[in-house]
Parts: sequence; structure tokens; C-alpha cells
Amino acid sequence: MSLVAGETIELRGPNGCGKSTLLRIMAGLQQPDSGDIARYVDPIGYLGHKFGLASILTVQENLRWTSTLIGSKLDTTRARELLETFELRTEMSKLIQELSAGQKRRCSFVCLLIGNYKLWLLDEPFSSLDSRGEKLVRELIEEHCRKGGSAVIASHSASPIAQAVQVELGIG
Amino acid sequence: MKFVPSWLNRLASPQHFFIDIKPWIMWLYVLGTIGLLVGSVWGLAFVPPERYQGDSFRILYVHAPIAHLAQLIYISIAIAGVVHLVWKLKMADVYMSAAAPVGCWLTALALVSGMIWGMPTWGTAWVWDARIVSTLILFFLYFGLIVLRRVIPNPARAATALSILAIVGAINVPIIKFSVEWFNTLHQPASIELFGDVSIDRVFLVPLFINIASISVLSAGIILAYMRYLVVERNASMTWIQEWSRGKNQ
Amino acid sequence: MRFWAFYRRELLIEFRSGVESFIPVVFFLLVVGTFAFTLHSVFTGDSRVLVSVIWITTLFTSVLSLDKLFKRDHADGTLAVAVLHRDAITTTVVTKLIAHWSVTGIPITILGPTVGLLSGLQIDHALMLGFTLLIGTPTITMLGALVTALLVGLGRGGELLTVLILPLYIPTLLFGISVCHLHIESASYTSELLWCFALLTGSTTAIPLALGPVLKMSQDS
Repeated sequence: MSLVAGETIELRGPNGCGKSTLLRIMAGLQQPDSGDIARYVDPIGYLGHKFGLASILTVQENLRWTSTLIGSKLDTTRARELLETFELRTEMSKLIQELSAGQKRRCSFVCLLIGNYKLWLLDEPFSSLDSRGEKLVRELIEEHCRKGGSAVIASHSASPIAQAVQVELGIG
Repeated sequence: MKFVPSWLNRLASPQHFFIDIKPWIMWLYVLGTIGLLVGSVWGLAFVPPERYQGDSFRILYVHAPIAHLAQLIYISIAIAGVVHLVWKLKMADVYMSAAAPVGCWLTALALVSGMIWGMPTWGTAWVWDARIVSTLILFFLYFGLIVLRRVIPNPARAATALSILAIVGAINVPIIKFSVEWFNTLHQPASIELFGDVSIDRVFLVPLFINIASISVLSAGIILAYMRYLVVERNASMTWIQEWSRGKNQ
Repeated sequence: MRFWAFYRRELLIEFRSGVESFIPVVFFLLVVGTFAFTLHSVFTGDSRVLVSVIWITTLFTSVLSLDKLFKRDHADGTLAVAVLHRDAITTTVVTKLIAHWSVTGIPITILGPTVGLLSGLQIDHALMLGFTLLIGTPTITMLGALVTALLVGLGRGGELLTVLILPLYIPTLLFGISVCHLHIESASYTSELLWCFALLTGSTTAIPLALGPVLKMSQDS
């Protein structure tokens, strides 16, 4: 299996077939039992079951941390725009632990965008999002791929993502 | 890896190790037991009593080999740790897991035999003497390795964690020994040495060397046998293990 | 620039957790206090006992506080994010350790000699105690962080950590105490002090480089 720029793969399959594990192996968070993996992009934007947000920091402080990680200063106007898109503008100085699960998920996506990652590894990106949120994220992924980014997505969503290559995983 | 002789290369694979090593274990056991009997009987019955300590020094023939080996095994585990981190050899991990309990037991035996020697010599079983304390710490280090192996469910992660702890521990072992000795000289007069500062006669040394060699051989046998056991346990799903066990049942 | 941004974040987290970040310091005072009260005249009468008690309590405080070093970051997933930024991970971890040392090591370095002074330690002996704690606590933090990193995500408590770490702390402890004892006895302590520095240099240079890979490995549960 290989992935080139601008391509999206959607992993599908029943619970326990190893979608999350495959994503974690791709990210390098886990060692494969057998086989090899070659990565040519660094860093990777990974969004797992956990939100990846420090719960006693505010939304803005978390965004600032992400931009420090990639070695730049937080572009506040861009951050403000992104928060606006995700309807988090008013929550900007709230602590993460005060947000709802859906809002946290949205905030993780803002971090993902702030990080300017070329490769996204998204584990169940639509979980805990409402229908508006899901639509937003869908558009976001499509736009990311149009701009030459790539993504691997594990999802259960009924409707597949437009340009994505569907990969069906089985158990065993 | 072209500098490695082919037989060693072959042993790095669990399957070949499992099959090739089997006949050796029995020989190591036999050789070790005979050597231990010869050395101990010689040391206990035929060596003259020592000038100052009388007969009580004879426990040296058990104590010294065990204590030396206990330290040596810890260093060897750390070397296996380096091998594991650098070359990702599976057998290095198997060695670490097998050698740690053996080393732990040897350290415990060294402590107990030291206490038995201490009773007639010092008049008390336990003295906070530098060597005793550093052996005790070695015991804790071994214990840590064994516990760490047990608490990490993922075998790959456990092996890496074990390697790192063993390496850090092994770097620490000489520093610990040194610091404990140094610290002790501040507070206590030098204790009685096992062999004093008398020059040691060859009569005393021959059985000692026989015992050092035999206990090493015996421990090697035990470690290899345990390694075979671990190979079976970890490769239980492999076809070659299943074929082997089927062959065994017939 | 990156360093200060990370440092600010770590300190913010410490301050936001409020009274929780005082637990190590209170623990330290509590244990030293218990010793002082039960040992009574031995504690105040013999400076060497006093110094040893403060040093040993420092070790226990360190183990206690290290237990939660990576716990929060692992639980909310920020540790996984940090680990994926390979060129930032060493800075991230070193900053974390420095921040941790700022809120445990520095207070103890100040509190230890203060408690000593209040219990009748001479001022120059107290200063020497403070100095050995100042160069000893970073070593303790580094060694402890490495072992803690091995255990990230296992959900194991502090007693396992204690068993794994304390044997590794022995040299730092013994050389630190040696310097103080020799100073109290007015003997030469140069070589012991050099050993303290050697341990400090060794641990602060080697361990940060190992921490990134170890933390990455620890994501594999």
C-alpha cells in the first residue's frame, strides 16, 4: 500500500479489524508485528481517539503550543479565522476542559490546520461531531487534498469522502 | 554482520537456537555438577584451615564464585540490551529475560552465604559493610528488571524498556560499588576481609577456580534451558514449534 | 524562542493545577517534620543525621512528584502529538524537566537548608547542604524522568517507580551526603564534590537525548 501527495485513503471495516492500529503504525506510534513502513513526510498530523489538547490550557494556548511545535509563531489572524469557521471564536479563552466533546474535536482540527501538516492521519474524525461539524470537516478534508495534501482516514460514516480511495480491512 | 561467525549467526534465529542448543544443555549440567562436587569436596575436606579464620572461610568456595557471577551476569544483560537496541536481535531479548531471574537468585544466594560466613567471623549475620550493601543494591536492580518485564504487556516495548534499564543500571553498578565503598570508609573502620591481606597460597586457589568455572557452566546451562523455554512460549503459534511438539507427542 | 514558549506552557499548567503543585513541597516538609519529631535530640544534636534525613527525603519527594510527570500529557494525547514532532521532542522534554525541577527541585533546595537552620544547623553547613541539593536535584530529576518514561501509560503506581528508581539514585545520594558530612567534619571534600558534578554532567547530557525515543516507544501500549 502506498500513498502519494494529494491522495486520500479511507479505511473501512468492522470494529477490531485494525484500522486504528494501522494508523498508529503509520504515524510511528506503534511498531508493526511484521513488515516495514517508509515515511517521507515529517511531521505528521495525527488525530487519534484522544483530542491531543492540554485540558487545563485555553483554546488559544493550545493553538500556540501547536505552532511552537512546528517551529513558528502563532499567526493570530489565521487562528481567529479558523476559530470563526469552526464556531469557536467565543470559546477562545476558555479552558479545554470546559468545552463539550464536539467542540474539543473541532479545536483539534484547528490545531491540525495550524500545524500545516502535509499528511493527516485521522482516526474516526467525525465522532462526537454534529451534522454541521461533520459537513465542515468533510469540506476541510476535500480542500486539504485539493491543495496537494494527503490523508488516511479510518471511519464508520455512512457516506464516504468524495475523492477517497476506499480500502476495506477484514479481520484475520 | 560479516564479522560474525556463521554458527553464531545461526543461533540468532530462535528456531535454530532451539534445536541446536538442546544437546549442549545436558553437557553443561553434567560438567557443572561434577565440577562443583569436586571443587566443593576439595575445598571443604582437603584444604588446610586458614590461619586466622579457621574453618569458617571455607564458605568462600561457594560464596565468591556466586557473588562474582552475579555481577558478571548483570553486565552481560546490559550488553545484550545494547545488542537488542542496535541490531534488534530477538535472542538478545530472550537472553535478558532468562538471565535476570538467574542473576537475581545468585545475588540472593551470595547475600545468604555471606551472612552465614558473617555469623562466626563478625559475630553477627548482617553488617552494613560496603560489599554487602552494594550486593544488596544489585539485588534490587535485578528485581527491578524482573518486575519491569512483568508489568509491560507488549513484548516489543518490554524488551526495549528492559534494555534501557539494564544499560542505565550497568553504568551505575561500578559507580554504586565505588560510592558505597567510599561512603563507608568515612564512617567505619575497614572490616575483616574474606582472605585478609595474607598472600593466598595456591592450595586455597585451585578448588576456588574449579568452583568459579563450574558455577559459571551450571548457570549457563540453566540460562540456556530457560531461554529454550521462553522461545517455545513466544513462538507457540509458529509452525516449526507446532511440528516439534507434534513430533514429541508421538 | 521555542524553549521559552514551551517553558511558559509547562509553568502555566503547573500554576493552573493550583494547590496540587504544592503536594511535593508539603510532602517534603511533612516527612522531614516527622523525622525531626521522632528522632528529637538525635535530629537536632547531630548535624550529620539532619543532613542525611533531608537528602533522603528529597529522593522520596522526587519519586513522588515524578510519578505524574508524563501522566497528564499522556492522558490527554498531547504527549503523542509532541512525540510526532521529531525535531522538537528533545526541546519539549528538556523544557518539561526544567519546569518540573523549577517547581520541585528549587523549592527543596531552598527549604532543605532552611529547615536545617531552624533545627540548629550552622549557617555554612546549611549553605553546603543547599549547594549539594542544587547540583544533586537535576541529576535526580533526569534519572527519574528516564525511568518514568519507560512506564508511561501502564497505569502503574508510585511503588513500582520507587523500586526501579531508588537503586539508581544511590550514587547521587551518597556523594551528596558525603560532601556535607566531610564539610561538617572539616575534612577535605573535593573529590566527592567532583563526583557530584560528574554525575550532574553525565545525566544532564546523556539522558535528554534518550528521552525522545523512549517516550515514543512508550506510546506502544
